[in-house]
Amino acid sequence: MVKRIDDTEAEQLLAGMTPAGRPELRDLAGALGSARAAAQSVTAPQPSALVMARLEGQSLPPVSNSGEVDVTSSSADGRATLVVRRPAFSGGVRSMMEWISGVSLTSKIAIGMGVVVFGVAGVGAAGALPGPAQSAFDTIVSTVTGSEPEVDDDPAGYVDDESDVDDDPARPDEDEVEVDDDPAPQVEDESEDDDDPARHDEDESDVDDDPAPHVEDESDVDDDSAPGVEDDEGEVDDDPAPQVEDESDVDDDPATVTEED
Amino acid sequence: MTAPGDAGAEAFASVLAAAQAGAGWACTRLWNSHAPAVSAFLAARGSREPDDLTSEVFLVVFDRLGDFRGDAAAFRSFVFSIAYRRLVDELRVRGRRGESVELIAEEDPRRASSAEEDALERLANERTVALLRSLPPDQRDVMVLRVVADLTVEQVAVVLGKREGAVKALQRRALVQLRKKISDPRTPAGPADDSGE
Repeated sequence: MVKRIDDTEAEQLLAGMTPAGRPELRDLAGALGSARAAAQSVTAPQPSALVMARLEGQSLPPVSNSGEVDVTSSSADGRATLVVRRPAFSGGVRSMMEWISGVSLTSKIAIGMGVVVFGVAGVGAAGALPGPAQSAFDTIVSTVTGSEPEVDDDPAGYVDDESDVDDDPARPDEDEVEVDDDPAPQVEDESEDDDDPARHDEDESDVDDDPAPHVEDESDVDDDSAPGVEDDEGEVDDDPAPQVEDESDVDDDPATVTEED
Repeated sequence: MTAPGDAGAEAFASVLAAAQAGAGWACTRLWNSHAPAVSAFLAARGSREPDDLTSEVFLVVFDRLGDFRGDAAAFRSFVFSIAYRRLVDELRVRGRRGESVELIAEEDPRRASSAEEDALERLANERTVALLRSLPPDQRDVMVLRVVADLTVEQVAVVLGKREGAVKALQRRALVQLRKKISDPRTPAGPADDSGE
C-alpha cells in the first residue's frame, strides 16, 4: 500500500528534498529538484519594444477608445512622457465594418448608390467613359449646370474636332460637384438591379458578422488582450489586492529576493 | 535595527513606489526579478511564444501598477495572476482557431540559439516538466506554479482563485501521480493538451 504524502512532506518534495524516513520518494524529490533548477536557470527574455520603453522610464499614457494616446498626461515624477501615437487604423476599419454590418438594407442600398454615383461622376468628369457614354454624361453636365463647354478653357490648347463636347479632363471641378444630383435618377435603375446584390450583401453581412463576434469573443476571452493597455476592469480586483492583507514574509520565496537584489 | 526580512520588505516597497512613479530603473528591477519565472512558467505550461507573452504580461503589470497595494509576495501573486490569465487566453484562442504553423527564423533549429533559448529548451526537455504536462490540468497548474514559478501554496491559491485547502489537495494528488509515473518508466509522459488543439 502506498503511504500518503502529507503537507510537510509535500513541501520537502517540492523543494527537491527527500522527506526523512521516505526513501521511496527520493526519485520524485530528485526529479522535482532538477525541474526547479532548470526553471531557475531561465534568464529574463528580451522585452518587447513597448516594455523596453517602460524599462527606460518612458511611461506610456493610457490609450483612449479612439486609439490615440493622451498626450497631456505625464508621469508622476514630472518627467515628460513619451509621445506615442499608436495606430488607430485597425480599430477604425473594424468600427466601420461593424457600422456597415449594422445598418439597414435600405441604407446599404443608398450607400451603394452613392458610391456608384460618385464613381460614375468621377470617371465621367475625367473623360474616361467610353465614347457614347461620355457624350451622354457631358450632355447631362451641360444641361444641369448650364455651362457651355469651352474649348478655349483647355490650357493645353487642345482642340477636339470630333464634337463640341468638352472632354477636357482639366474641366473645372464645379461641374463635377453639380453633376451629382442628376445622374442619381439614372442610376436608380441600376440600383434596382442592385437589389439582388444588396440581398447578397445582406447575406454576406451576416457572414461578416461572424468575424466581429469572433473578435468580440476573443476580447471576452482576452480580458486584457488588446495589449492589456485598454481595459482596466476587473482583473486587478480579483488579483492580489484582496489577498494582500496578511501575506507574511515567509511567503517570499528566497529566489525572488535574491533575484531582486 | 531592522531584521533582514524587514529590510527586504522595505527594499521592495521602495522599488514598487519608484516603479509606480514611472522610474525606469525600478521597472527594470521588477522585470529582472519576475520575468524569468514568468517566462519559464509560460513555457512549461505550453505557451508557444513565452517571451512575447511575458512582455504582454508585463505591459499589463506596469499599467496596473498604480492600483497595486501589497508586499513582495502579493506582487508575485499579482504578476502570476495576470500571466495565468494571459496563458489561459492563449490556450483558448489556440484551441478555438486551430493553429497555423509558420516558419519563423528565430525558431529555425538550424539557427544558433541564445543562452535564454537554451535554458527554455532545457526546461522544455526536462523530463519532469514533461511529466508535469501529463498531469490533469488542475493538478498541472498547481505543480507548475509551485515548481517552475516557485510560488507558495497561498500564492497559487490567489493565482488560481482557489482555496488553499483545494490547492494542497491537488498538489498531493499530483505528487502521488508523479511518483507513480516516475517509478513506472513505461508510463507515457505526453502532454495532456488542454488547448483543445
